[in-house]
Amino acid sequence: MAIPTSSGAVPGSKKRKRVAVDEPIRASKTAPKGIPTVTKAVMIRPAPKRKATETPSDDENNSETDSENDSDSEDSLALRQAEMLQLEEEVIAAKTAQARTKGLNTLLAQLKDESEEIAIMTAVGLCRTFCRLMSRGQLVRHKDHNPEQLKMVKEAKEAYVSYLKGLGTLVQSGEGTSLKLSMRLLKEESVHMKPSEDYYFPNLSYGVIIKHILLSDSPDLVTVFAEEYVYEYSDLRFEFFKAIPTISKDIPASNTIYSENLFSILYNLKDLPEPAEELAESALYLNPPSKKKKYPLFQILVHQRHFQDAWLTLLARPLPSKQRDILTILPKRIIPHLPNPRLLMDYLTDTYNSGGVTALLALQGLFNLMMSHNLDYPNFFPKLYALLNRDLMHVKYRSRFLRLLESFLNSSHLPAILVASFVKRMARLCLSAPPSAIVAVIPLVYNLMRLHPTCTFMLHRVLGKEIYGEKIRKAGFEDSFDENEMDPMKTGALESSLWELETLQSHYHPNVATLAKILSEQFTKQQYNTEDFLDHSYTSMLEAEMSKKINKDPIVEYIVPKKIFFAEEKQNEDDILPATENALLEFWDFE
Amino acid sequence: MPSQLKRLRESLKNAGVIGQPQKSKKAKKRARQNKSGNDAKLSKEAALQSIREEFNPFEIKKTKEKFSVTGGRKVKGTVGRPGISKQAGEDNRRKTLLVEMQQRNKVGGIVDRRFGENDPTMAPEDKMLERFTREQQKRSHKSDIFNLEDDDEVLTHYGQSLGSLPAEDFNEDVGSDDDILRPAKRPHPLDAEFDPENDEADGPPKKKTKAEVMKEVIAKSKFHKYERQKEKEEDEELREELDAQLGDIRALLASIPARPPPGKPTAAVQGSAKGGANGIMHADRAAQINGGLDVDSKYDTAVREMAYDKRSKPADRTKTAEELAEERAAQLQKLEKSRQRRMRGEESSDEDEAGDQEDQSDDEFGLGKGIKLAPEEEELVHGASDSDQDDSEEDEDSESDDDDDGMDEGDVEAEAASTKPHASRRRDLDNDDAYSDDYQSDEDADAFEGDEDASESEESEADLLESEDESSAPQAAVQTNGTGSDDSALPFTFPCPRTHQEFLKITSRHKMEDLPTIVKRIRVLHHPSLSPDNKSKLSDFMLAIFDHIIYLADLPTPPPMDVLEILIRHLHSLSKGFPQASAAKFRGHIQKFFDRIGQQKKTRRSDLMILTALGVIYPTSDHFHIVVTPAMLVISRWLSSNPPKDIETMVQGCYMVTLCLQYQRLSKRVIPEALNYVYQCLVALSPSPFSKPPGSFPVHGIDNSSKLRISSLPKGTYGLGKLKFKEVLYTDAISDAAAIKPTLAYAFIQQLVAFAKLYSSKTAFLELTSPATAILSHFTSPTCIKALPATLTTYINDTALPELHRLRAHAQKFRRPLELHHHRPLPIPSNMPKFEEEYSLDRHKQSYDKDQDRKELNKLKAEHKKERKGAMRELRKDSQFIAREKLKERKVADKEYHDKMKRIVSMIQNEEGAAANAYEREKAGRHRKK
Repeated sequence: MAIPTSSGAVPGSKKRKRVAVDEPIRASKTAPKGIPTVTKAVMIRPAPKRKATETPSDDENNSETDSENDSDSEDSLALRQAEMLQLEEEVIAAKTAQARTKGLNTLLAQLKDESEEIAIMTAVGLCRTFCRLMSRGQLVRHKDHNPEQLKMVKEAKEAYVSYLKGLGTLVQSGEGTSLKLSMRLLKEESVHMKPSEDYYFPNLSYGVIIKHILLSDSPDLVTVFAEEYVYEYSDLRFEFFKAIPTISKDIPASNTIYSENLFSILYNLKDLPEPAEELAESALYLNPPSKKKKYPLFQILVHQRHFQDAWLTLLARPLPSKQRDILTILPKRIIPHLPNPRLLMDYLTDTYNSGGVTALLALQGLFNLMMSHNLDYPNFFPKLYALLNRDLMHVKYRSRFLRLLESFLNSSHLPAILVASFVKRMARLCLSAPPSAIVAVIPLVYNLMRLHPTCTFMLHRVLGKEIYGEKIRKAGFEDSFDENEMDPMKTGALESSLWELETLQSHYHPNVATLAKILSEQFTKQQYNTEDFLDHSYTSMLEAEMSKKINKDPIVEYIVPKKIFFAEEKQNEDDILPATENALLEFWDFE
Repeated sequence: MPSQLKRLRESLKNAGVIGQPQKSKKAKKRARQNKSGNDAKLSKEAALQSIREEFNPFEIKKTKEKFSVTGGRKVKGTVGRPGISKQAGEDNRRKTLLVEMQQRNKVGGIVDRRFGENDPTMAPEDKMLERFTREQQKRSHKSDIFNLEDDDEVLTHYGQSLGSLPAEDFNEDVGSDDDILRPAKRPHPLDAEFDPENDEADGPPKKKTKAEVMKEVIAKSKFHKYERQKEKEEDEELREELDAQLGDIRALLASIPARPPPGKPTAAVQGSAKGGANGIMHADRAAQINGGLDVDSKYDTAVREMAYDKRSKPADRTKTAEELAEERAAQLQKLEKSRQRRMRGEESSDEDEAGDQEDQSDDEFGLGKGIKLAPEEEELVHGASDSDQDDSEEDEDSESDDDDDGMDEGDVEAEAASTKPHASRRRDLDNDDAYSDDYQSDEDADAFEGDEDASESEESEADLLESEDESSAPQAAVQTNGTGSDDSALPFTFPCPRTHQEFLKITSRHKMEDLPTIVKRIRVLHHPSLSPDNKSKLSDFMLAIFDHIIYLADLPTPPPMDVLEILIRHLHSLSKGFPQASAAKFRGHIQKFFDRIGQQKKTRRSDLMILTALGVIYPTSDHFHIVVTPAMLVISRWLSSNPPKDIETMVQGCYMVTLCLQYQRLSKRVIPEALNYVYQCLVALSPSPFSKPPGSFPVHGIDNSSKLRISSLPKGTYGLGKLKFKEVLYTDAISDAAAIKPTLAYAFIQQLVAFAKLYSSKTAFLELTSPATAILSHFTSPTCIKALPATLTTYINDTALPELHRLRAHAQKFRRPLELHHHRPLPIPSNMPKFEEEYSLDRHKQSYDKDQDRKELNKLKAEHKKERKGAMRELRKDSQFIAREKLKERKVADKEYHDKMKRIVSMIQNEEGAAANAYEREKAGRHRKK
């Protein structure tokens, strides 16, 4: 690492001494140290060179070999570095505010250098400088400071803030080292800048870092930040959640990069602490406060509240491409951690309007809230009913829909009228559905019939002769089902009959036809396991057919027709043969 | 219960202690004899003791029964004698545990194993004797294992004891008289040839070994063989003699030439081997025989023919025309019946069902495993459909085609006759290959005709001939078209093509129009009755025809449909012969087509053609058919995954829908995809867009642009007509793209009406056709009507819509609510209580368990539990016993110690006392002295 470890002052003083002794060697030495850290967006942990700096003989060798290998441009880099180091020393040793500010400003100016390498180098150097300043307490005001010193502190602080901003822009450009530097600074700050002996988290700096990370367009950096810091350390995660709502206020909702980065961090967050877990045991990035328990950091409820705020902030932002992902993880990974899941209702009702599978998932979330969080949502079933549209049986998420539909309707307390509407509607849709859909619907209907025996009137209704006899003989039975009615309580399906499913008993696919016959047989089976029927397709059905072995001779049409593509003109002695109509000839002319 | 006192008296009386027991004199006497006075006294004591014990109320412990159980259950252990059992246990422990305890921590010791040492009942003499015998036995038992003298182990050689070997083996001088130079070879004991006489001569008859017996047997059999040979030779000689004299005899019989006996040639060989004199004689005879041979063979054949001739039988009466028609009708009826049964999906034969039932348990509806899982084999739920249609039926049918038969034969012969002159002409024209072909055909012409004769009687020829009969008509038409008499130039024989490449090679040389003739000739030439190989050849040829149909259909120019038709019919009749092979081929094609649909590849004409052929060849009305069911799946997949996008797919889709109609013309099964497709196409074609498409068919795939809409009237007068296969499916041939759209619309509307008619009996007919009326009404709405040709609108208005309305009105009138569940109410399952014969309360409940294994297990468990408890109890008692014993020991030791101490103390006290006394005395003495 190019920066001193947490022990702060001690290595700093050591270094100073050594610098005094062999300045040129150090200058040349740091060149190879700085270079490997100048990497692209992907962060590579710089090689631990600390050991090397402590053994000068090794360093000399290193520098020699390096300088041999490296080209002139790197020599100039080394030169720059040497200058910089000197400048750093000056800054630290500066006695007046003016001198220090001047030095810092030069360095800060260098930070905006076009050359990425130099910028990084400067950032590293500045980090070192500020760390040392902090460890000497020169960034914190003291009672016994004289005006000059106060001024120095003030200006140094200003410089520090602008350095953080510069570092932030570096981070935003996807630079890995700068992320490390900033996190490192966080740590130093928490140690040396705390106002009292109490626990101190540098919220401001962290907020700046988070903001810039979320604005960066490098997904790698975001992942690294998430995996190495946020998920890893309980305090960083906590502060992250806490910071999100305030940061998001400044970012316009149209900024999709920000939203997506935030989403990816929140989406991949898996091991949020459970209430049962002992928070005090979790890993912390900064030094823990002496007295535990008292701090909000160790209260699960506070954690959850901030988690909820963070999610709500994210959900408030438009993120159409990720809706589906969010809705998928909603019931399992988000709702359990929310203190007040009912806040999601608005989001869910809004997403329902986007239609398709998203609407379905939104309904699932609503259902979850209704079931386990006491949400009252009277529109649920009408909305579900509306999803049963003409394309449903032909779309990919059909099986998912039917699976959920079963769980939604799986209560015997639902009114039979409502269930009948669903059944009738599905039956109607089956008339134009592929066999795989029919196969999924029929067992579901069977199960619903078992659950709601009233609905079996749709399969079996004996009308009284006295009341209906004359009317029916004249005009037939009037179907009371209104397919345009969108309220499942008013469709009149219960008075109708499931002619559609009866018709499907003569479906062209033998298995479908056989399956449809279960509805006209006695309901002896308790329930069908619909899971067995949901995931079929033309391909799986054909595979099932094709895997059948030809065991015995397949039947071949016995009579070889005289004509296939032409009309049969003469009717000779075969007039016993029934005249089979040839559909081909009705529509096609093969001449 | 009698009182205690009474019982006591009773038992005393029984024991003979008091009173005069009523005994017979004899018994008394015996009793007196048996017991001496002392004994009697002793037994009396014992009896008294037992009675005392019995009547001691403190010895017996009873458990009070809380409830009396009916059924006379015996409860064990209600009455016990804890004192006695405790005492027994104590005694037992004393014998075992105590001994062990005392011996603990002690090593060594002497165990007295002397016999009878601790048995006082034995007399000393007996003891001695027994000891002696033991000693003897022991010694003999532990004898030296190297003791060869012992009887038990015998050294053997080849399973024979060494002792039993012939003694002279070991005598050195035996071999010397035979061969001195050779070292005395030790003969192998099993060597059979080894001097049998020697053995026999030797001394007394001993038991023969197995080897010897075998040897004898072999010798005997050899001897017999030799005898037989000798006899045979003698016979032979006799016969030869007779043969030699035959010439003379024949000379006597002069006119009758006799056949030489069959044994002759071998005799001749032997004779020649023997030598000179005989040889001359045989040469004579050879000449003689050669002269008479063919006369001979003719006679033979005549005899054989007569032997194999069938007895003449009265032939079946020639049937009258009515009878024939009746038969035919009956057969057709039978076919129709079996078709109906298959359509309903009923299993025909019992074996099928048995097989299917097993499968059903696995996957009830044969839907396969769905998408995620790999499909497994056992999904044959509905079983391969029945096969009533035996080959035997074909036999019957052959009669019907007899008339064709004769005519065709004439054809072939005529062709054969006409070939010859042309062939010679063509020789100069054609290249070498053709030349050789022609040449060959000339050569084989006769043979071919002969074959034709032979195969004439074969029954399955009927199919082929039938087809040939049909082919002649279009061929004639073709010939008039100018290609002339090329047919006659066709060679008569072709090698049977086994692959499509071979077939192409053959057909490439000839015109397309000749194809039916070529196929026919190949089939005639390789009729299965001609050679056993032909079956497999024809089977391969069938596959080649299949491929050729694909090839022809995919050609850029349309092939003559009659040729295709005839090929399909050939395929059909061959499929009857090789149903499995053709089904496999069709299924293979279906699979390929299906995969192509999945890959969004273009549909070929050949796919349509094969599906057409499939609909002709296989019964599409079957509930389940191994070929038709997958074909239906493929068609419906095509229809659902190719929503109308352009004219080309729409035309193909129209053909697919036609196929659906064709397939379901009898069984009237519902195909949602086909209806959807028709609706989708009509929606796409409609001149003005729908505000909201009616019905519930999917609309997400329809191209909503106006590209497909019927926009402008076709030029000129537009007449409604059928789609022309050769035009619309060959895209380059489309003359007027604009005219196709109304034609397509017309076709789809027609199909709609056809579907409506097909499904008019379905209960959901109204639901199925509700979009149809809406769409048709839309077509006749003012926004559309101006873009449509007048003929089409009149068709819709005058024919299609009224028809639909009529059907719908009819359906509405007869619509009734479903009454599907007129089942007999399910009885509530009532289980009769099961009574166990011979039930006993004493038997454990679990011993009535039906499940043997469980019963055994429970028994073992109970036993284990019991044993465990018993063992624990025993252990507890053991430890109590040990503690008690230890305490006793301790007490004894303590007592000993105390006694000892006491003794010592008293001794010391004594001594002290004595000493004190002495001292006192001494003192007193001194005192006195003083």
